[in-house]
Amino acid sequence: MSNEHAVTGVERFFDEDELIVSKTDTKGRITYANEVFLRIALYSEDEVLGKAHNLIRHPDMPRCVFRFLWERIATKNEVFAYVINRCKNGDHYWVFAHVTPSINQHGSIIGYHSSRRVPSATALSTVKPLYNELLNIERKYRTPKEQWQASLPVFEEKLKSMGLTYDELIFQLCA
Amino acid sequence: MTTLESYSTNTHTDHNKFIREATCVCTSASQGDLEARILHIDDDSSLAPMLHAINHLLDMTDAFVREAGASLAFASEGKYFRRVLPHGFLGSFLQTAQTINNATIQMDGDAKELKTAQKEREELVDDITTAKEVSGLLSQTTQDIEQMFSVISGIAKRTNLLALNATIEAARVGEAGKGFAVVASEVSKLAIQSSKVTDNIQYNVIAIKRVSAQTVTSIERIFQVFDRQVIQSQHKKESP
Repeated sequence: MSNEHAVTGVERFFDEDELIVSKTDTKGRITYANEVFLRIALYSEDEVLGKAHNLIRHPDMPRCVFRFLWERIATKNEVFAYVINRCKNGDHYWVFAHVTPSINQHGSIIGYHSSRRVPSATALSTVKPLYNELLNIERKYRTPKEQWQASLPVFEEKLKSMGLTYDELIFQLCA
Repeated sequence: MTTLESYSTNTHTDHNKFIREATCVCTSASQGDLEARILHIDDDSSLAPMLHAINHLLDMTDAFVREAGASLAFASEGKYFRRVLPHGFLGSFLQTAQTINNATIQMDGDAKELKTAQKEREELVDDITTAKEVSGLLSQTTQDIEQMFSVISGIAKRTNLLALNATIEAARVGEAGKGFAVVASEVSKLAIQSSKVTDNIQYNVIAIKRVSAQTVTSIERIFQVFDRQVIQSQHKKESP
């Protein structure tokens, strides 16, 4: 169990021209992971199919960002996020994720699609200190719910003070 | 020998199974359903590279469609910052992404110009509204002057009548009324003079009235045209 959450601090990378792709069902269980995903996360297809997507959740990822992300896609909106993921062996890799709901012809969500790109170094230099600040707040609480409830208002306040919507901030960072 | 035969049969069955699956996935994709992928690919199979390539093609197409769709959906809501992210796309995908982004940049510029023009037009409508009010006030004032004119003209007539009466009365008292008759005659002259002046004023007031009525009509027309344009552009803004 402890091994599942252990991290090595070793960063892994993928190519600028590559996309990490995964798909999940409406409950967040993985239904597809492309070759780049499996290669960088050090999993086989059998190990990920049917598993919850938080299989690759890294402890350095603030919960409020995921909370924000899920709220957005559950209301049929796309969302972008800078995310640190955990490999099977505890290594990590940073991605710039684009998550979109897959919607059928009747307008209902049938699953989620995530494509991840190599994040720019400048974007990460803004994102990393922000995430650390949010993590420091979250670490004062025990349950995940308490954690995001404490950090989400801080996150929203930060955006407000910058005078930007979340999407505007994201696109400024990747420009 | 038996083992080899069964191996070859198994491989054949697997190949058929994967070819069927790949056909199914590609058919769905050609019908616009980009969801399905080929799962559980046996990497030892000679079909593996082809099956992975099909998944890769679908991943790229799917990602591109989502990206382009999102960017255009944002643009249609007047949010031009959401560009297609070109990273990870190659060839035609990349070129098209850039074409869409150029169009979005162009739309952004046009929208900004339109917004300025709209603001200027709204300011003009404000100015025209003021002008309309001022000319309305002008026609009200000329009406007031007309009323005053009729009062003054009445006074002049009555003064003239009084002077006439005074002259008659002065004549009746003979020599003693002579001095008073001179005064009465002067009053009569004044009454005639003021009557001439009021006639003149009336002529001018009529001219002012005609001109201000014309002004009100033209401003009214300009106002209607601008009002319609502003309403139309607001309409466009609200329901793109």
